[in-house]
Amino acid sequence: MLATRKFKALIILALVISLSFISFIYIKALIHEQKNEQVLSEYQSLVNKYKLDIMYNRLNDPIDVDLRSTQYTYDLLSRWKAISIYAPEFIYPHQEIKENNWFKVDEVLENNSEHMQAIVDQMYEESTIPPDEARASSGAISHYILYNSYESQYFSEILVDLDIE
Amino acid sequence: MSVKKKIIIIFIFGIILISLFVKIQSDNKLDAKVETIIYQLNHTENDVYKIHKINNNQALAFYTWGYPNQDHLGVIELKKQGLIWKFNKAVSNYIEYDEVKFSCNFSAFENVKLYQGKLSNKIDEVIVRTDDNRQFKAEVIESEHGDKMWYLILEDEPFEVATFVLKDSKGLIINELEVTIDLKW
Repeated sequence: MLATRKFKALIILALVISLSFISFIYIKALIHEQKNEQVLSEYQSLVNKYKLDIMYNRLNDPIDVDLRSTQYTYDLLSRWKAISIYAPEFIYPHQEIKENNWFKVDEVLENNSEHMQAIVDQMYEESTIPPDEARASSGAISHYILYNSYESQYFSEILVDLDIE
Repeated sequence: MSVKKKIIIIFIFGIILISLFVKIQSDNKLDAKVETIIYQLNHTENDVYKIHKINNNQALAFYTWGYPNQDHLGVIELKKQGLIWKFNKAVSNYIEYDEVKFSCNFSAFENVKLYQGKLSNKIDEVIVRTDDNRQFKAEVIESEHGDKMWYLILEDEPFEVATFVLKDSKGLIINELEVTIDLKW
């Protein structure tokens, strides 16, 4: 009777340990998968923003991808360079582009955003095109660089007037 | 051990076995596996055009993705390991339309080379004439929404320059384009 009880207890213990182990492995894999998905999502954002080509060689342990710029990317970078020539404080990421490090390129653009409003104000002041009261938001520059769109009035004419475009 | 306990233990093992079975079944289904990988890549707003089985153990899935214009063209290579289809490689190209809406990209996969691109909805046939005098007829495929793309799978030597003859449904030549292709990928 006692031996049977011990045997039952051992069976239950083995079952509990097995289930705990399986749960541990499963949860660990789930966390790992979520981290991978987060990284893949960051690559997706980058590809979408700079219109890059991407090759996925491995999706985990570790993620291995190659990125390649497209004609759209070159045009985007030309617009960025033109702004940085006009306003040197708006950094152009020569080295990061050369190293094909697009996360760093994006970081430089993000860091540049603090200068955007001042540069837009300067452009509207220096140009003879817009009336005195005309102003634009900092988004005028980011929209111009990323989407080649002129969301603010007079902006396209100002770019030509200041020899940026 | 009481009957009740036995039932509980059998029930737990049953659930585990059913879960494993369902997981293997879902991995075994090619279209479901493709959807899982596209989701994993976070290629949202996607449209799967076709899954082409090269042989029993290798397949390529063609799709477009991206908001709002689905302007990225994706290809996923899957390989069968045992009973399960697994990810092997994927490529996504940003599509740049020229005025006739034709794009061409190259990617090398295991034992095959792939040429593919987006296509104007007016085109129904794509003939490829390479600079080394080979001629191929590309596959033209259509999404559920009526958008078109083309692809050509080669097992022999790749070509770098080709003339693409684009025809409509009546066989009328709409355009002939000489294209130099980047073979780096």
